Amino acid sequence: MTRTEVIAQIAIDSSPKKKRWLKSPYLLTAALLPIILSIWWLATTVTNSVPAILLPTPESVWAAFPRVLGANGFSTQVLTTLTEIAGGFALGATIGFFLGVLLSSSRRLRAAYLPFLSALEAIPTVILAPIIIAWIGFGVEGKILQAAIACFYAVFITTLSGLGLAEPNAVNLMKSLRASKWQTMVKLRIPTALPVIFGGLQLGATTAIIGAIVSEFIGATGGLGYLMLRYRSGFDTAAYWVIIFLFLLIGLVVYLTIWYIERRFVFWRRSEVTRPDLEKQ
Amino acid sequence: MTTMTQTAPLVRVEGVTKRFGSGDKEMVALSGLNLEVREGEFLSLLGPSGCGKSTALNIMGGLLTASEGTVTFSGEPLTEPSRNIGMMFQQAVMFPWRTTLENVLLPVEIFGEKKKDFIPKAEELLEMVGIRDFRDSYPWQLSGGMQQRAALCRVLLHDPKLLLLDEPFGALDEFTRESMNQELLRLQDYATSTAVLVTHNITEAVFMSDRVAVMSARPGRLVDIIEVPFDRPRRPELQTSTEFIKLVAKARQMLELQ
Ligand SMILES: Nc1ncnc2c1ncn2[C@@H]1O[C@H](COP(=O)(O)OP(=O)(O)OP(=O)(O)O)[C@@H](O)[C@H]1O
Ligand SMILES: [Mg+2]
Repeated sequence: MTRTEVIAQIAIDSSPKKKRWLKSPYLLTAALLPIILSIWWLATTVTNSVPAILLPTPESVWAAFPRVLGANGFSTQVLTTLTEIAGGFALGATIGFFLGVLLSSSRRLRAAYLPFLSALEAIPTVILAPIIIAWIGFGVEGKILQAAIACFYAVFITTLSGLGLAEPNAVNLMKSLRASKWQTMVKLRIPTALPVIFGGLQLGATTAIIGAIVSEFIGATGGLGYLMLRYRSGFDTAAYWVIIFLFLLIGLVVYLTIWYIERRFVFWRRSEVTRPDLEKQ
Repeated sequence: MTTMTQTAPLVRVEGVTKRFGSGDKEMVALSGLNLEVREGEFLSLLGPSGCGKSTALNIMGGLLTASEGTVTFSGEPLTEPSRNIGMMFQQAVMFPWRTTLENVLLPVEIFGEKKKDFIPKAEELLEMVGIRDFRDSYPWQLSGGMQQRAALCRVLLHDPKLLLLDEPFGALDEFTRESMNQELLRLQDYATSTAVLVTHNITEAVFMSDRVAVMSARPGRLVDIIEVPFDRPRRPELQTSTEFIKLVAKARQMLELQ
């Protein structure tokens, strides 16, 4: 702890219990909500300056919630999208991690495949989606594949660069103990890389969500993206917005889940700037 | 130049040259280094910064290979790291995801042995350096000196015949450094191993060693060896004696003559 942190900690500790919640960061989060709501409300309901087709009123979106959530087969659609995201993320992250480990261990493999893998990442999901549909159809499998392609690179490239972060002295220590390449990988390189890999997992999770939704937009028989398309063609903008909020919720849950796992796994080093709580190191 | 040895030396470095890079970027770090390390002695490698001390030590430890010349360990050519050689570096190199005890037991895991068999020895060593109470703490909960103590335990766990120490306490403050040096001498005596210590500190080199090998500026080679005749165990008061100060002055002169 730095001096100022110590002082801040003392200040927190000595303040009466009932006032502590005032320092909670979630208060700031909560404070944002009325601000956004009132701007939204002013622009639509009050001044009527934005057409409802562009931005529906908050009341109408609120009213659309039970309609969307209660619609026939809604839970199936949610489940479909969640399966695509989770499946795609699991597949993409696993492939990305192992490819990272593989390429980090060989200069030749890196020279041969790294440019190619990076170029592959540059192909947008929208372009790939019709091809994948043509190959394996409109079903969930194609979306999982799409989400996996979208997210593998973030995990791959962070793994690759993270594995190179081990200190030369630490590598020398392993060498002096005659550790095998594999032992050095498992006991030194992978643990050293974990904080960076978790950054890649966070990034990969969001790209997996995007990959799944975009490919549903291109062509699907179910899922939240598919549902959005249907609402849009029916000019039900309010319902469309309800699903946008659902995606926000999904993104939030995914972020917090990965952060929670990271906290467990990388207990020795937590990134100060990407963590959503006030806990001291 | 080198003094005669009675028994066969534990390490013999003969005409070792080390070049890094090639072509225009070639750089000669060592040029024809000759050195013998006797069984059971404490030898210091003293030389100006960048003269190739770490390079020489890494070659003796089998981490680097010489461009020219040979190194033998116990009479055998040395080409790769050996279990009988323990190395310590300027940083403690404690893995932060392991507790002190787990860090000390790292070599056991790498050698594929049973941890259970080594726990008593590890605890004994931790006790000797006074950090047994911290066996379940993580490195970030330890001071720099405590971390180096743990690193010392790790390197001594398998009773290496040869200890190669590359300024292991260079990052510590003066007081901690002195007490660590005492600790090191005590433990070297306990483990009856041979030690080579790299340092730029002249007083430290003389105080710790049986012999001090003085190296020239880059490209490094041996200038001379100073025999240090004082009895052991050595007490800190020794450093104020006239003979001690004379030896320090001699070593300083050798370094400055270059
Ligand atoms: N891997 C390397 N590649 C290129 N040059 C190197 C390498 N390692 C060391 N050198 C060079 O070799 C020379 C000797 O380096 P070395 O680290 O052995 O010096 P040193 O005596 O230990 O110095 P110090 O006391 O500062 O630690 C230096 O000039 C250094 O730049
Ligand atoms: Mg050095």
